[in-house]
Amino acid sequence: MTDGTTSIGAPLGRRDLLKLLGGAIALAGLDGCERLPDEDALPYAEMPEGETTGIARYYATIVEHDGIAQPAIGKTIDGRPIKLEGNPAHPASRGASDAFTQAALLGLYDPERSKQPARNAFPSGWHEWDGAIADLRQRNDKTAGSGFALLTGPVGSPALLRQIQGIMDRWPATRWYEHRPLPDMGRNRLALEQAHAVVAFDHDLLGPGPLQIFHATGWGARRRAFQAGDGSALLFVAEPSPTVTGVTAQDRLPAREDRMGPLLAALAARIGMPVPVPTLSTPEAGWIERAAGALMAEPGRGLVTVGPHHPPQFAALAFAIDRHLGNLGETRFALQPAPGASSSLAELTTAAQAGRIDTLFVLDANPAYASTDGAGFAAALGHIRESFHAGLHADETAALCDWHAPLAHGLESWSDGETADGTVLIGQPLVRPWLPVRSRHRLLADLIGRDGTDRELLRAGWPDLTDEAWEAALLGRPVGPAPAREKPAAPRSTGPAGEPQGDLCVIVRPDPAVWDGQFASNPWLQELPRPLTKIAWQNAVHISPALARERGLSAGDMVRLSVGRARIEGPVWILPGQERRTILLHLGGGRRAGGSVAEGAGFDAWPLAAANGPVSLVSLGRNEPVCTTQHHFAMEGEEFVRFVDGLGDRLPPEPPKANFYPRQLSRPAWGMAIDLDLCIGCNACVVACVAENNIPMVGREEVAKGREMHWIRVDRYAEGDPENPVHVFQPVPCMHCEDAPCEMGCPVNATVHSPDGLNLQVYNRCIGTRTCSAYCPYKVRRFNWFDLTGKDPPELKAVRNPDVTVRGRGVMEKCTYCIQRISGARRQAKREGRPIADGEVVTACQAACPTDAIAFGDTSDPATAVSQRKASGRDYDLLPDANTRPRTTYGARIRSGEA
Amino acid sequence: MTCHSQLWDKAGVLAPVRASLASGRPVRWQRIAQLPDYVYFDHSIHIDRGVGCVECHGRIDRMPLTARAKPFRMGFCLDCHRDPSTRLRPASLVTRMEPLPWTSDERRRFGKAAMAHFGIDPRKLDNCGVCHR
Repeated sequence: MTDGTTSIGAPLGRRDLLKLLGGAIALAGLDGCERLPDEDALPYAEMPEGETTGIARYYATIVEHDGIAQPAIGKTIDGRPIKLEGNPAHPASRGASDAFTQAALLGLYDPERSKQPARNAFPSGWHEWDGAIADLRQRNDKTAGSGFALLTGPVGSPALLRQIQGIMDRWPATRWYEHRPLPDMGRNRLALEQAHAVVAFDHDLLGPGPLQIFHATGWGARRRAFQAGDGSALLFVAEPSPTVTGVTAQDRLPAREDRMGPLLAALAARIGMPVPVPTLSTPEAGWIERAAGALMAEPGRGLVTVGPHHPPQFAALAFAIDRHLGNLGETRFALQPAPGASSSLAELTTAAQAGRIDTLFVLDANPAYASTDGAGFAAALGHIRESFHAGLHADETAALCDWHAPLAHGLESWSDGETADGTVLIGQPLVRPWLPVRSRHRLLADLIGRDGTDRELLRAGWPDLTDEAWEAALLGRPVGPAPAREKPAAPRSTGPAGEPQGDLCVIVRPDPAVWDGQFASNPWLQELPRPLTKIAWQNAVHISPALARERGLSAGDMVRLSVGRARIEGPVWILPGQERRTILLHLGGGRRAGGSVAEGAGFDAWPLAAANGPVSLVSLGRNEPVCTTQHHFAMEGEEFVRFVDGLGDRLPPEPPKANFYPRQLSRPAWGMAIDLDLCIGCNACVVACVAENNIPMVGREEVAKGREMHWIRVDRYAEGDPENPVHVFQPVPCMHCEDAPCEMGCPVNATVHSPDGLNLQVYNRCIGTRTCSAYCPYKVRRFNWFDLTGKDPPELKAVRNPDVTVRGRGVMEKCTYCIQRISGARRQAKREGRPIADGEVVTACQAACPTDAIAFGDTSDPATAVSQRKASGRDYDLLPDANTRPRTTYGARIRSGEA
Repeated sequence: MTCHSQLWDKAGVLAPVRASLASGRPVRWQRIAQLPDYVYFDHSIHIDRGVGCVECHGRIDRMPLTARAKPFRMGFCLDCHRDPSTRLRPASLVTRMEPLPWTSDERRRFGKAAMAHFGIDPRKLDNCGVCHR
């Protein structure tokens, strides 16, 4: 204290004491801030070539999903892969991605990945594994592979196929079995951008799966062309339970799974094919009439398609309808047949039980869980003398096998793969494995005792490729010429026809987030609200509103569902739009091994996937609330989603509102336009945002309390008759209001406005009053109730984007319009002495979106894509009465699809 | 070791660097110019605009043992962001350590001209989002 201040000896008033205390606290605080604790800096001992610390490098690679490669570009900073984007140069991606591709990044860093070989579930080492493999090789050399079986998942990598062929050449008696847990997609592909009228029978074209990006980008292109006045974009869907495809359709018919056969026949008859006419209900007949009308109005531009889980003769009939209408080769094309295994898991089980298999090598498949006969496979293993398993996790199959080896993740190994459109891409590793793992190519090479690095193994598989072509392939160009798009041949039309089922019809489908269970250990996917139910971290028994009424069931009521001898217990979820007597289950729950994230989430529906017999649904008389985000962050107001009837219709103009504040005009003025006519609710944006912005996962309990942290949520609205409502998806990020209520509410100025129109959140100023969140009419602010990041294991720290602050406990956060990308583009433009070009700043959600529903850019320039969207006449503000002048606006959905 | 494989290749002060190269283990440097993780600082744009090294790092050429010359607190950054005119210099002089032979008026005149040339607007530069994300 200097002279002139109150001395301690003098009598103190209350205010003086407070002042003193305040000063002391301030000084103490300053002392603490004076200097950060010393931090060691560890530079490279030897700098890798071309590396600059802190500067991102990008590598073209692939993310394989069920044997189909998704073209991707991996971003790495300081050697760490931190983000995946679609490959914009590849037609099977066009820069877009899906939730699975985005979440593959976290799969790489999964702290619960298998870390060392094991024998009989006890830790072992590669030396021991190699010894066992050498013994196997000697044995196979003597017996020519008799009794040796190889079991793989769906194989889409030409290199892997060649290696398997090499094994079969060396040991001709080897049997190769390919386990496809889900129905095969086949070799026909749909060119949806050419299809002006699509009629889908229980086929979730736009839904999650290995073809989602390909289909959704194609459909998005068609729909945008329709918006621009270039032809129709009509979608007719008949389906038992709502899917993203069904709710995107202009004309959706809820119909039981076993009605698809009669409906197809009726359509064939209606367009004039010699097919007996089945009896139809009035809604069915009306739907067929409209669908047939649309198809016949668009000869050569129509498409009829059936879900892959239906009997082949349905596909054959759909094919015949397309041929009749001249659609073949236009909207549907065929890829070259792929040399796959001739044998399936069921044949393996039979052969093993007959004692014909002595040794089994399971490569990257989990049939003990993900198959319709997991118990049969487990029993078959009892007849096999020695079994080997290689996988990312010590999963259910690993637990049954004698040997387990940790497999390298796709993003840390060399490989290749066939994309949805039939081209082949090279997959480069984004990082060297930090665990003692081996790639699948290495493991198969070990089997036949072949040396070489993974890169050499892959390169040797492409001997005809020149070095220039190889270099181009590493930059993301397809290997070899584009495959010919052949006219598809008629599919096999024999096989059992679909039979009418009993009163209740149970359908079992892959989960939109964890798929067949292979992604169950990925928290980004577990916590992803499923598109139509917004359920996270579990699955449910989905029933129709009518069945719920009949049985007196409400959401969360526990039921026992049995089909023949198979049964499950789970909570009920009522799904508007589901056919009255249909019960939908999702796979992927109830994992028994594979890590703490996977285990215990939901129930295992696999036993019911192929079960036959009488169906019974019995209430267990208790209620276990389902974890869903459906009512979280609910907005007050009306008309969240708007419609216009047809092409060229405009929304009524909004009357001007009184506002004391001047418009915030600046250049640039960042803004976003989200077209609800294009959004299919696929969730790619949500996971992309999680990856880009270091958004922590909170777990089931906290999600149930409404504390999920997603910066962009996809709201789902259903309007009209609960039997068949109109569903609309609405992605809601921060609106970046020009007159932001949150900014007026914050007592410490922690949320402020930037000159270019961003509503900023200053974490270090935030004291966590949550007033801003209370003031926000759109409910887009997220609060860190706990230290969600501090205890993360090193792997999860490594996945973080270094350009985005990791938030601590007690602060508010929200969408920033990817300010780090804006800042990067701004600095780049400044260094080059030019303005930021339109399209230079692409937000993470926008980049991922397969239908281009999201446009972002400078709204002060009328020529930008975002300004043009906003000028379309369909543009509207969410909650206009709040008068916040939001920078994020929406495009009304167009009810019609007819040009 | 680049230059130091030829020059001062036996200097005692560089022994830890040679040892690092031989062993492959990084030298444990103590960071002097330290910023918190929530501050995003881009050297390239500052150098491009003509902020001399010496403005933040001081007379690094006269530091046998490197020390922090400036406080590196938000106020220090903001002083310059709110009035960059007295800290800018021609790109060719960015690495110059000695004081510029300019009067303060000349310096400010150059700074104003550079700000006009580059379109540097101090009203935008003290925005939170410029450094914090």
